[in-house]
Formats: sequence, C-alpha cells, structure tokens
Amino acid sequence: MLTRFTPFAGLEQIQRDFERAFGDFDAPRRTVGPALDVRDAGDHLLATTDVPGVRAEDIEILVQGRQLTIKGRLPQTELPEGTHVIRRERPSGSFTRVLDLPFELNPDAVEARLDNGVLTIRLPKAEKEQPRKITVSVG
Amino acid sequence: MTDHAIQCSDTGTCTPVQREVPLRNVRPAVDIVERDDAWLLVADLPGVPADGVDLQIERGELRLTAAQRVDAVGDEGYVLRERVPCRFVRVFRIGDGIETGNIDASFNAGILTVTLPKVTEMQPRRIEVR
Repeated sequence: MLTRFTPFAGLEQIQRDFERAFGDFDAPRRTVGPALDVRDAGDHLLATTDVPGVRAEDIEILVQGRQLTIKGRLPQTELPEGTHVIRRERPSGSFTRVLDLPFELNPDAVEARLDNGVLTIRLPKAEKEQPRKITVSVG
Repeated sequence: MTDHAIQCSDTGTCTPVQREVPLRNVRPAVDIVERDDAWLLVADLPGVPADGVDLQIERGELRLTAAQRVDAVGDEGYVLRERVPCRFVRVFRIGDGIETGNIDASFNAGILTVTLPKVTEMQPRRIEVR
C-alpha cells in the first residue's frame, strides 16, 4: 500500500507540544458566522467583524430601524486543476449576521471599511437617540 | 467613552505587547493544498497589519506568529463582544521534501499564503514509454 507523503506529518502532535510549552492557548472559536463586536461610542455604534479574504463587493450591509444585517461570502482557498486539499480548516461560504440593537440607527449615514480582513461599520444613531447635553441653568 | 492610546500607527509599527491586557494566543485556521511543484499553506489572520506576520524556519519547523492590531479603547461600551484580541501562533513540522531556501509568502486582506516549493525529487515526472 502506498501512503501519501506529506511534509506536514505530525502536525497535531507538534502543535500540542508547542501549545503546552507556550501555555495559555484559546480553543479555536466556533460561532455561527464571523466573530462580531459591537461597541457603543456615544453618538454612533461601531461594529467590527473578522472577514479575511472577503472583497468589498461581496459584503452587504442592511440597516432597518434597530436591526443590523451583515451578509457576505468568505472565499474558499482556490483549487486550480491538478491541486488537491491536504487540510481544510478555513471557514468559507455565505454568512448572515442579524443583530437587534438597543438603538435606532440612521441608515443614511452608515459607513463601512475593510482593513486587513476586518470589516468596520460605523453606525450613527438616529437623531432622537443621540446623547444630549442638558444645560443646567443657575437660577 | 474615550478612545485613547492607540497602539498601532497607520504607517506600521505595532506594539501589542505593551497593551495592558495581554493578547491571547489563538491557532489560526489553515488550509494546506498540494500542487505538483509546491505545497501551499493558507492561513486566516484577520486584523494583522501587513508587517505583523513573522515566519521562521528553524530545525525543521515552520513557526508562524502574527499579532492583531489592537486599538486600545478599553472594555467600555460593548453591546456585543465575540472577538478576542489575539496573537495567532502556529507551528508546522516540515520534512525534507521542501526547498527551504525558496519559501515564499504573501499577505493580503488578512490571508497569508506561504508557498513551500518541493525539492526536485518530490515533483512528479513523466516517464517516457518506449
């Protein structure tokens, strides 16, 4: 019987040894869709999500009232003819994250940018949700 | 809410080790693909700046370390928090089949691609049938 040669033999064992030596390793995260942070920054919310390899044109952001929907597609590692997979761990395919937020948003002023595989969405709150400074009058 | 003490400048230099909360170590997700002339290692490293990837070959091991760029905004104001600021760390044992002098790596949109060329003896050859 022939066994396929791979230079990555002992992949798991060596990683385990390494992690023991290094200590303090987090288990790989398992969430439905890419991991997402949402932070309240006063007059706006900042949503941040890890989408390595995603192209801007493959991202769809929908804002409706208090609901934020992020849709996208994580690209699969390309497999040209004559190549084959030895290991596949990277998540790929379509994802949808839907969030109900504690604030109403202003959908016209949403901005998004992609940077090093991280999508950051700036979501201004609706006018009526903006924090207001109350002037105290001295009487 | 204050946004203060951003650790990384836009021009590059990143100093996550100085962050108050230490970065967690996380194994990046990796695909490995075999080609006739090389193995390709593809790793997801979202949030790592272009100059933040460190690859080292030593004693038959390929070590990948990559620290995420972290904006130190503290723990305030999170409505949802699933992402953990992390340092991606992974090590691979590489055998004799790889031309270690010609390993090439590129990094784009949070994805690292390492090309590990096969030594000539490992590449398939067509045998002429007479």
